[in-house]
Amino acid sequence: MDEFNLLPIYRNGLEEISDGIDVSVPEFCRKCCRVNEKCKRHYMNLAEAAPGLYHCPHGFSSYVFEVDGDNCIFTCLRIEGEYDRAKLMSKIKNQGKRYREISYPILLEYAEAYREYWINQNKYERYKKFIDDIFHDVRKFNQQIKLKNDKIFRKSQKNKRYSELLEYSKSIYVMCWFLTLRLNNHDFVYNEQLMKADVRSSYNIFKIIDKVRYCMKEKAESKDIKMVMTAERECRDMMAYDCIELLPFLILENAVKYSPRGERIEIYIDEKGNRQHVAIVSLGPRILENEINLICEQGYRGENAVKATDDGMGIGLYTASCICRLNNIDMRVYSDPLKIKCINSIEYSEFKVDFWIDL
Amino acid sequence: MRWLFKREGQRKRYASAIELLEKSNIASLRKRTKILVVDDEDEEIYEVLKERQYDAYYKNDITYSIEAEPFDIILMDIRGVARRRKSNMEGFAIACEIKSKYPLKRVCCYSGSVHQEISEQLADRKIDAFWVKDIDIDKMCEKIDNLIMEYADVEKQWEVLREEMVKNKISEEDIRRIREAYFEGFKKGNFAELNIVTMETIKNASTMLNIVNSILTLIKVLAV
Repeated sequence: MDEFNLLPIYRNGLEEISDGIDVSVPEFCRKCCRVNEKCKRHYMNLAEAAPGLYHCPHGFSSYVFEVDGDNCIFTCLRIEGEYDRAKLMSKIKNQGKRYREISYPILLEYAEAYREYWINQNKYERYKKFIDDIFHDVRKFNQQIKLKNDKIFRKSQKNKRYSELLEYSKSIYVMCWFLTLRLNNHDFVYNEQLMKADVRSSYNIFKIIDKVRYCMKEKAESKDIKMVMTAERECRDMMAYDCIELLPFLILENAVKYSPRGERIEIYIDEKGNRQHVAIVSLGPRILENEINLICEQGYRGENAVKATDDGMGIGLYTASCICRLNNIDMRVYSDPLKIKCINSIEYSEFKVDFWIDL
Repeated sequence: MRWLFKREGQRKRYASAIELLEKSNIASLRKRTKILVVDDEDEEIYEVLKERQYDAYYKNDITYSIEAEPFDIILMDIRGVARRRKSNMEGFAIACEIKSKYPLKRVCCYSGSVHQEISEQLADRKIDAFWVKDIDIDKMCEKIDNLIMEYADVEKQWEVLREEMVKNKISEEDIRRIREAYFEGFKKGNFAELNIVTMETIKNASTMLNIVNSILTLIKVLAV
């Protein structure tokens, strides 16, 4: 767990003192706390001591306070009017400013800040563990559905209602795939390292987009949006990390979210030499000229996009650009400066995302 | 090591190993590569692999890396595996240990969720592959096939051996000689020259053992 301590803190199990953000540990104390018998005994006593101020054998102040039932020790301190100046000054020669004095009320404030941080951090860790467990179980059950579905599909090949069963099986497969995609999206945002963990394998961009289109169909239809896909020729496979499947999903999800009712989303796929070109064109909230360079930055949302919907964190295009960087894909975003429509005083114009993929 | 190179009759059987590699298709390689699935919760991945004609085996837990010795490819769930070791890295720790002890084997992990510490080490490529637990079945099989192909690839095996030799401070000149003898051995089906060169150059028993293992692996997978 990362630490947030403003003052030097003694680590009970490790027998070491960590720097505080505001006051650091004098070299003398850093060396002595492990080897000097007097220092070792002092900290051993403090581990069991009642809360309050104490003096270390070399004149510094130590402060014991309780956090979550355990003793916490701020040490190497010069608390105004409390430390032994005569003993101490020789230990920090010419470094008085660095290891400055602090007042008792400030010490109490710092201790309270540390206690609060510790409790929140513990809560966060527990919550994170809880989320991790849920993710683990969701992925496990999702995999079981996939495996069972695969079995049904294989065993029903001689069934009279094979074509009907095949349709059901396809829908289950696509739903499971979509769930994996949503979970991968979360992992990519919160645990990016995981996406780089595997080696590249072959993917076909046409098949991925087709699957995403199928998954988004219902959502698009609820807004009367048509998704039209045109491929100029057969697409060859590309080598990419697993997160590549997220890329079309992020762009198409945005396109469906921001398109006004009854519009079209056009997807073009083409291959020239060793380069594949994918273009996704839709009508979206117009991005102002000064915004276009910021639109792929984390947390940034265009002015018109904010007006159009509250639903968004500004991470879709950012994540897409990260995936492109990871897979050496050239991604470009255009928004037509000329408005096409104005709905509820929000300006809409053509929005286009281009991908250039080297095969 | 001498016994391996001295059996004249067997040499002919190994003679066209490289040729076989070029011709070998994944369906036959699947049947010749022993895959161990370690998963504490269910045998379903193992069952899928069996259905798809992989030579798969199942264990619900593993404590020592030596338990993986008879297998060529190891697929390890991270959570709930190697519990007796009481490491928070669970199955990942033992996967890394297997990879370090048997560098020629292909080791991969899968999990439903992975904490930061493991993700960082995964990115450092301490094992050969990682995938999320709910990966598509076809994709998983494709990845396993890739691992099998790598395992049965003379060049890839050589890369691992070379890395071992560099780690053991064998000189570039000696590595070049061993390489020549290694590939010639496969081409001619005669490892006598490799035997001489390794005896002259390699003093480290584990490196020598890895060379023998590499040859045995390729013979077993490609030529039997």
